[in-house]
Amino acid sequence: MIATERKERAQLPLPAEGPSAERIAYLESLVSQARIAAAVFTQFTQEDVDRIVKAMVLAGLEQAQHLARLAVEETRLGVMEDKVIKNMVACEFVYNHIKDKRTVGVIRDIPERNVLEMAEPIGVLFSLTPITNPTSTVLFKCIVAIKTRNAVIFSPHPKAWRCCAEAVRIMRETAVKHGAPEGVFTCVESPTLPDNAYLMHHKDVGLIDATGGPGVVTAAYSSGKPALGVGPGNTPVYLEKTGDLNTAIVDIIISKTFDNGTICASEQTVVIDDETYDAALQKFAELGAHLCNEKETKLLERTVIDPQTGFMQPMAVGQKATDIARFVGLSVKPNTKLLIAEIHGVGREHPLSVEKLFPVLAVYRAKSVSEALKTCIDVNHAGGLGHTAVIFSRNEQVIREFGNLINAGRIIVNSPGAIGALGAVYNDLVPTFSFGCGTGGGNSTTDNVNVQHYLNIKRVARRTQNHMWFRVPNQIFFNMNAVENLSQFPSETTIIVTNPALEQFGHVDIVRRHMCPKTHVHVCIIPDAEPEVKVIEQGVEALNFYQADQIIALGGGSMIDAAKIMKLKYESPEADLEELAAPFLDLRKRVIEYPKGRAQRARLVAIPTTSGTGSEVTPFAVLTDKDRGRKVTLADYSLTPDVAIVDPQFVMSMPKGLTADTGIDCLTHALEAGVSNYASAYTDANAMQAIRLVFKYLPTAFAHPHDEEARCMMHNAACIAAMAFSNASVGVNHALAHAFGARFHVAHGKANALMLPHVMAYNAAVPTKFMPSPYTKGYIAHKKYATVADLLGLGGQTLQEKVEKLIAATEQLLDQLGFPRSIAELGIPRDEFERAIPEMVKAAFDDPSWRSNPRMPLMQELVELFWKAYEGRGTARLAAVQPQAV
Amino acid sequence: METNTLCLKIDANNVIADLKQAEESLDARQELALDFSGVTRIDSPGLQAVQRFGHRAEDKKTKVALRGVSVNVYKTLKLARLTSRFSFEN
Repeated sequence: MIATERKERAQLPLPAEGPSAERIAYLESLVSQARIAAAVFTQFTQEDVDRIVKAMVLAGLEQAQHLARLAVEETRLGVMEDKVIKNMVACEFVYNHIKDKRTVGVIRDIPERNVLEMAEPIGVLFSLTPITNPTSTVLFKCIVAIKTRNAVIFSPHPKAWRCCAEAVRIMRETAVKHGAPEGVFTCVESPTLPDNAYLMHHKDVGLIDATGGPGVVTAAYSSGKPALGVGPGNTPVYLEKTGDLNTAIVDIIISKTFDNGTICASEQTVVIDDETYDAALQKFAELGAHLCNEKETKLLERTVIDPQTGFMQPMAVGQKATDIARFVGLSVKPNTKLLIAEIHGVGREHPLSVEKLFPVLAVYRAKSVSEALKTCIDVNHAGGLGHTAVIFSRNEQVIREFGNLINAGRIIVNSPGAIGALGAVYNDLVPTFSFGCGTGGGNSTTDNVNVQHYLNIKRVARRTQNHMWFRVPNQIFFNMNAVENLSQFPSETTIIVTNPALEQFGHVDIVRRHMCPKTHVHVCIIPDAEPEVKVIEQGVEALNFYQADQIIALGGGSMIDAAKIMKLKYESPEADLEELAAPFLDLRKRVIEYPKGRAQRARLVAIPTTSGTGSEVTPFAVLTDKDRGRKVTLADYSLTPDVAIVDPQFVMSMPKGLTADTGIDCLTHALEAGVSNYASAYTDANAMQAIRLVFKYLPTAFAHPHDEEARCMMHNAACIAAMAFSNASVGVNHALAHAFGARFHVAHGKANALMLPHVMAYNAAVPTKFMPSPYTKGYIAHKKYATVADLLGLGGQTLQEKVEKLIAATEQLLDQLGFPRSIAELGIPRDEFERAIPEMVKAAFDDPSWRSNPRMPLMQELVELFWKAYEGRGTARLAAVQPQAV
Repeated sequence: METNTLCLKIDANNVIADLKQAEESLDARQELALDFSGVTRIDSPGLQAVQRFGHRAEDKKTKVALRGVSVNVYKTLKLARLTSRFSFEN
């Protein structure tokens, strides 16, 4: 882009006056033609456009010389022979790049993502083309526009209008002859600033494609339209000491003299390492460059750079080195290709450090790599941000450092800048005549503009069901005396993690009896019902001291949880429990990663002594942080015990209250896993079986604690339910129970029981807000409850009747087990409960348990559920069940 | 002026001429229907003819319904901003 263009177009888009009425009618006719052509174009197939493109490319190649000659004659810039090459590159190289690309209909199928990419044309493009590369830019844009089924209104630079109009004519006639719609390319006659501003703001123009200087680009982006604005550059070149001097000097001369330096990616300042500086200059001189002395440099500066603006003088743009020398008054050899002037810095005090679109090259001697890189950064920031940079080096580290430091869309290595940036000749860059300069250049892209920028790419995203899983311990032994299986696990040193009561009951001795005879056994007694951090740390110390290769967790859920965390810290001492407990929405996408690939130091065998939590098969562990007065939940499948032994002999003496509490905890796990959004056929099988076992055996296990079969089946039910919720998670019942239990110190099972009928009624109703879930099709919670009712043989004809019967059966079970049926019955005063509600609602909403709930709980709904649980009996009604509606 | 709706068939290969002929019916009718069911693709001259016809119908205050317009042709009319001038019947 040259200074004249800057001046002429810099004021866009605010011309003093708009176009005349007559002129507007003319411009409207152009837009109308283009709009209709673009509309018709949408009916074309890939084969249609490919046929037209090929014909246009052949026509462009045929007319390359004719157009080059016209361009040089009209603009008086550049070299005719080079412009022929540019025209041919715009046709042949671009064609070679796009010929097999799909730009109509489905352009890319990505089966692994279940996504189809489809092309939608933009419609009408308004394109401003430069004086420096007039016909090649028009040819390029026409070919790319047809390939993408767009119509273009061209507004060439006024001083290159005739040659551009001729290029547009050739492209249009060829395209239309081969089937393109009439009006697909038009060219504004004698374009003015008001014309350009009018078209830039026209509602039917879909995209402005402005190739030129900062004025054009700014105007395009200021129009409020989507725009591709591709502006000026100031290419720094680092000729590093390891670079091949012969290649570098020839490449720079090729590039800087190509079309007399009119390509904006051409080299502007060459920074040369001190070690090779003299040799480089000598080589330049040998190959036809004139090295200016200090006096000549001053003369050159004053002549080719405008002292007022600091930009290059238009009269020098695209002129031969010998002609420039003549203007300046330098005496040079007749075959001089290039004028080289030494500069000692970058900026206004060093006029030749700016963009010079003519064969004048600045050189800078750098005493160190650091100085060289800094100078290149300075050049880059002196008008060339985002555009192009060049490095000649064999040192990969320096090349990467250069790439890292320089802000340029194209960093050309060991090749000529101008032709290298055009792409497809010296490298595999996308061929273009429009260089995106990124935000550094006020552009929206750093790409070499091509077909992808002339398309709206639509993505047809099919519903993807994320992979689901069913993960449980490798080995589960169950039924009476299952503990005998311990003997098959060899161990040198085993730590039994348990509590004092279980040791007193003789449970530890039973376990000892069934271990390998040579195993050294140590018992780690954890006094607290809810283990805290300090206790865990002591346990880990013991594991390290004895170098245990097996941990046996003997106890309820808390004890097994403690052992899980001990194992984690034993094998990954660096694990930060606080960090691992960070909140997440989806287990597989969470931010925090658990230690991976750690060597297993100890096998974890879990032997539950209650029938509820199912911790022996779950990936969860809850830890009490007494210092902060809260519980920390860890969740990761790496926490799952290696072996579970579900032996009912350890629960035969479980007290009635604990039997009821843990039994209802188990039922809640199964019911919530059953209606969870993460439920699958695998988890459903477990959930349904667990529910059936609870309804059948829990009353007996409660009423007749020594009934071996009932104890055994409830112990199995707890483990089976846990397998379901380990993989399908739980729901809003647990979120409410956690919050309420923590606030009023109510046992987990009892807290679950208080919420359960109300949550079932809540989930069975049409949600106020559906929970987004790719796993489920439609809302099915009420149907799944009905399936449970059928499984239990509860009767009922309609879905609603079946759900009501299941809730009634659950309430009946709770009555049988002697549960309080309202929070009020616990003696919690109403006003105290009311005061606690905001805190409990917040805690419940923060609880990850409800993330898989079928119905998304609103805060107010959580409040209502808490009050229903407070009021109790008779409030669990299906007020809003409307199965037909869902 | 007749009030019953006249329906004219538009031939895919003769869109311009058929629309020209339809223009002659505009004076005598308050309502007119054009059957486009045979037109599966429309070119620039055809689209311009539709545009011209739409203008004339508007001038004459004749309501024009396009029948059986294919989806592709409908999208083309939409992009050319011509759909607001007509009503569409399947």
